[in-house]
Amino acid sequence: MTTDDLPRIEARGVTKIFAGVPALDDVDLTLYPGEVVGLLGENGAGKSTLIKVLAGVYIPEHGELRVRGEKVHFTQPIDALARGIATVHQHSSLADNLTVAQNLILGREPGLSWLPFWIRQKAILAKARQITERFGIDLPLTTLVDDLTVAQKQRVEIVRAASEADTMIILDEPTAALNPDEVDELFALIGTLKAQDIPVLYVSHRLDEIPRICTRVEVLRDGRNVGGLDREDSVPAKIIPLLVGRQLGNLFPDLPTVSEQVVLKAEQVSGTLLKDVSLTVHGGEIVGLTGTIGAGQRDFARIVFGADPGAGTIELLGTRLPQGRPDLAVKAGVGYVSGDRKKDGLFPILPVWRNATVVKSDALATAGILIPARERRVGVELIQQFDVRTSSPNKEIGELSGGNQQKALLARWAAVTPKLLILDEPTLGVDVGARREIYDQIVALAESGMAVLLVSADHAELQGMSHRVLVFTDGEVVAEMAGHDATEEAILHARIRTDRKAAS
Amino acid sequence: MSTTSTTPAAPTQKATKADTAVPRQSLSKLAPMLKRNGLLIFFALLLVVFTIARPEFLSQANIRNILLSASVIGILALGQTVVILTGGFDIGIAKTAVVAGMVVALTAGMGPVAMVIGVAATIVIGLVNGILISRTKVNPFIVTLGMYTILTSVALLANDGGSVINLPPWLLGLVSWQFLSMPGIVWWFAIIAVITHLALAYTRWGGHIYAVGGNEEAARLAGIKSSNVLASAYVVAAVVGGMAGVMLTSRLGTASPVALPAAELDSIAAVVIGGTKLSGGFGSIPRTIVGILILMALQSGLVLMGVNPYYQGMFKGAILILAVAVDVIFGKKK
Repeated sequence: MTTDDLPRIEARGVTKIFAGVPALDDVDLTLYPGEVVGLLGENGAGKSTLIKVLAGVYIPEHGELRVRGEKVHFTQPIDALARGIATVHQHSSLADNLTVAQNLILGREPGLSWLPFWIRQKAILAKARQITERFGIDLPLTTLVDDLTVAQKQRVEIVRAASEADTMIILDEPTAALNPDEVDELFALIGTLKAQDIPVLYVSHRLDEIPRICTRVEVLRDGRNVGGLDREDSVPAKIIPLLVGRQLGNLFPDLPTVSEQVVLKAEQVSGTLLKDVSLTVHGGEIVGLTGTIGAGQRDFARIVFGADPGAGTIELLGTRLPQGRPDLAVKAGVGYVSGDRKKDGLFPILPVWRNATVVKSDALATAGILIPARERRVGVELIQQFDVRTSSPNKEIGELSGGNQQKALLARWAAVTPKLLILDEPTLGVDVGARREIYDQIVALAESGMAVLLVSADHAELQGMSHRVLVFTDGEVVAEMAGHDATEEAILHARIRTDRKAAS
Repeated sequence: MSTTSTTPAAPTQKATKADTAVPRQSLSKLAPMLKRNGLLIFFALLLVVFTIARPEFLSQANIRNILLSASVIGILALGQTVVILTGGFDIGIAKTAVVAGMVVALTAGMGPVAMVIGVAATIVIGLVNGILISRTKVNPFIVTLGMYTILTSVALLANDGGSVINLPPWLLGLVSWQFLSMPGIVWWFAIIAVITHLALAYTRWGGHIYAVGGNEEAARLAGIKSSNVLASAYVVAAVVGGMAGVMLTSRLGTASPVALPAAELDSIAAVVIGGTKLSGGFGSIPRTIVGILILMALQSGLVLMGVNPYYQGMFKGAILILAVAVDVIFGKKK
């Protein structure tokens, strides 16, 4: 290639600070034409911040961006797109009610030369066909996007991105929702882009994919570049030491003592995704459940609570729990802090105190009659006990920070002293200070004999907060290890081992 | 603030905010104070303006008149409040009232047991609405619009399109009394209002209505039977709405299949003007009462000022839109 020495995109010394904490600290990134660069890092390492800086979503405090050698300042996403940088997100951004062809040229519809607002479907189809032919990719142009599979939608998005952005394409976790065959198709498509000289920034946490597709990798940790590896060296064994290396410090309290008593006994629990998972949890025990998104750990937790329907037997202290009945599970003594507090945890417009008492309130009522002042008093006590920081207990909970919201949700369940508490990503979006407080509360609750299921993708949290860790892949438990052995490395290896097995 | 302990759940949240505010900054305190009590201030302003323009506005006769005209629509609005708090609404509520009126009038010969039949009829209507909306997740607008259309037919079929007249004394006697020189129907409105208010603000069920309206899935995962709570709201709305129909029948001495035209829309207007959020989870019965009083005071004031009644719709409509617009524009804190 003639332009090989001129980088398509070059980021130098990029620094982005949130609330005084640098999310990116002096980060460099360079992409040449025809490269596929893997961008790796743990959660919170700065991957998504870097992508957002490149896509014009965030404006960095320091550093410069050059596109084809020319210095640029992006202040909004449209600036990046105008310079030919397109991002394909994990979630579809297509219009489901339109056809593939209409989506491919959305916003660029060809009008008649003498009547520019007059759009003909034939012209749309012809223009869409030009695009697919240019990339040599077959797409069902006249099909409604709504009728496509997830993988097909993604292909449409990538082709659309490629047709409007010839500087660089960012693929954010593109394989998260794909099965192995679909991954192969995706890689073929990336190969086509590569042949067209369009560089691809490939963000992923699936280390086993990296050597298959990337020409080299860049690793971020704590907002800094910690190293780059060439294709030959881009193997998990060399990547993992770069990814890990964080000190656990004293973020975690001592774990509670485990009693003899069996609190949860789940046998052959199955669901739409889950296959025959069995698990026994004792009083005071914290069991971590992990895996990639959609590997089944969350499904297991939700089925145990009855939030989703499932099959199998689930016993709490020897009594069988009915399926799909969260109300009965709560009565029996199961608590559930959901993984998406905005979607199904909080009552955003209700006051903080009411969010804390919503489960306890049933017990506070006498013959169905509930005095608000009494309920509020209990709510205020809970808020104080769990150190929820709010200017007033009457404030709408939606206005609090993530950490304080999470503390209020923990208080909601602690108020009824459950026998089993299911925590799904309890510290997602929670700052470090509040994290420790949440961990302390969890341990204090478990000390009194409560069993805990901890669904988490945070390796440090799993290691520091669980007695045992179960690793899920494709709806099955593929490994079980002691909490202190559950290093990121060990979990990754467990996952990759089974991926390989499945592939062969 | 001494009002704290007696106000219901949602207003409590507003009222006690003053406790935590810093006293000295009087100007910055004024804005939230206005926001909190804007509804009452607007109502008071309306009364003052009309009283200055027409002193007889505040005469006992006119107050009686306003309350009388507020009663039937007001009872509908009480039922409507319950469903709106869950984030839905009931387009068919006025038709439910009409059907209840017809049913009670037609069976009135059997004596007060006719009331039981009437209530049973409304429970059936409410259950159909509630079960369809909570189990099949068909949009409440569609379900209750369908019910509205069906009930229009049912009301006409009930007596072959005719009104029911010659009602027995017990039915007429329901509202033909006075107490403290206020007509019986106003007292019924007050009684039903107090009961629904207490149910919403002081019972477990009421708390669950707010929770389901705030976030249905979160309520389910908090161990609340969300779909049952949702269905119950439509049953309560239908029963309360049905009472409006019986009261109207009793007051007019006749049950007409075409009574209460467009009253369902007025009932929604009253709830919305009161500041209850259509998205659910926020609002209260006292708000709805102020809402209906604003609508009726406006109507009466305009009549007294000699404004051509054809203009009434313009004022009512403008106030409805204004109420929501003010809420949306000033309601966002960010």
